[in-house]
Amino acid sequence: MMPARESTTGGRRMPAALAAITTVWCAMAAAGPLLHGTGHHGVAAAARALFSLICHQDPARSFLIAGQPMALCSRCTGIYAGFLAGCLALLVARLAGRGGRLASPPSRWVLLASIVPSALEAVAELTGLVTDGALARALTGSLFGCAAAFYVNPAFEELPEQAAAELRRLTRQLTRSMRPSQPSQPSCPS
Amino acid sequence: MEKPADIWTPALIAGAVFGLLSGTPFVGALNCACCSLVVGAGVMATFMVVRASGTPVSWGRGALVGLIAGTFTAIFSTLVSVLFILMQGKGITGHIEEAADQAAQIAPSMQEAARVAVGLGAPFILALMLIVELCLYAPFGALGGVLGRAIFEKRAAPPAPSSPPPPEPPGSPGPMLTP
Repeated sequence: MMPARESTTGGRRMPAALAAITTVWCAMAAAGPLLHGTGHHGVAAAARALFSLICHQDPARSFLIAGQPMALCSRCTGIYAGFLAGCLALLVARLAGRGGRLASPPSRWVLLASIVPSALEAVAELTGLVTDGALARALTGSLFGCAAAFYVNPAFEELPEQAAAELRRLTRQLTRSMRPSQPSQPSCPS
Repeated sequence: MEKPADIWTPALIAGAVFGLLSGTPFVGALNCACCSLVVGAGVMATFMVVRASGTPVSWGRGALVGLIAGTFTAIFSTLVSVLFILMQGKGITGHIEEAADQAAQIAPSMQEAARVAVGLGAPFILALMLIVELCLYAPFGALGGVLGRAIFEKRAAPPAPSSPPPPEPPGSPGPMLTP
């Protein structure tokens, strides 16, 4: 078993892969209204049903595209857009050879601080200080999404190595438990 | 060297708790807030692993714990959802037909798609439900694991082992021997 250690991989593959996946994810959320517009109601409804598992999709709290609400609310849209921006920033930093300092995630306080604006915005909406806060929700959500990218990328870079080590440990345990126990040599009376 | 803490039991416990909540009507709607129940499963599982582990839990291990917890959440959530559907007495296909009737008001083609799904039978629908939830919940669980590692692991991770020196280029005189 490898000792627990901070990620020092600093590769370009993970930010690129996560950026690509998040781009497809955001495109799927935005495609719903456009598909409705082109008459592909079935596909649009299926995409909407998929996102309904992870978002409330309240039309009053969502951005509109061509007069139709997106499949994600404005806060979720902001979070994913921020995550995409974070992955791209990490990728650019690593391509420029300046990703060394970003190989390990920053302090936990950065992550906790990134949640504060969203919490404050939610309080401001509840108390009536903000009435139409779609953009504010998206912007504050994007801060959390962007910060999360700097934790998720190094963690996911380590993930395959950790999963392989866990699989090896399980296989060893399984083979050990399946091996028949050796019977003790009976002492033959001479 | 200290043995690493077991990750399967915490992941199973967290997956069972949050899967039960996710599959329960109304309570499961909490997942509409950025998949909060699934992320919660990852956070809870990582918290238990961090508490049980004698050595600092790495970021990758946190993500792995969350990934397994998310997978268990999907399995338990599907099972509990099916139980609630069966308790309503309409059966899985009846439930899909009813949902399709409602969706048909928005998109008529959804009713046709639902009819095809119903024709394939309840096992197909069940498998589809499980696959969709696995694909969504496993990554969100991993995200929860990363968040849990960030919040609860306060011990400093040991420095990474230094990489070995690069090999000598061919033709180099080799190491100098000191007399």
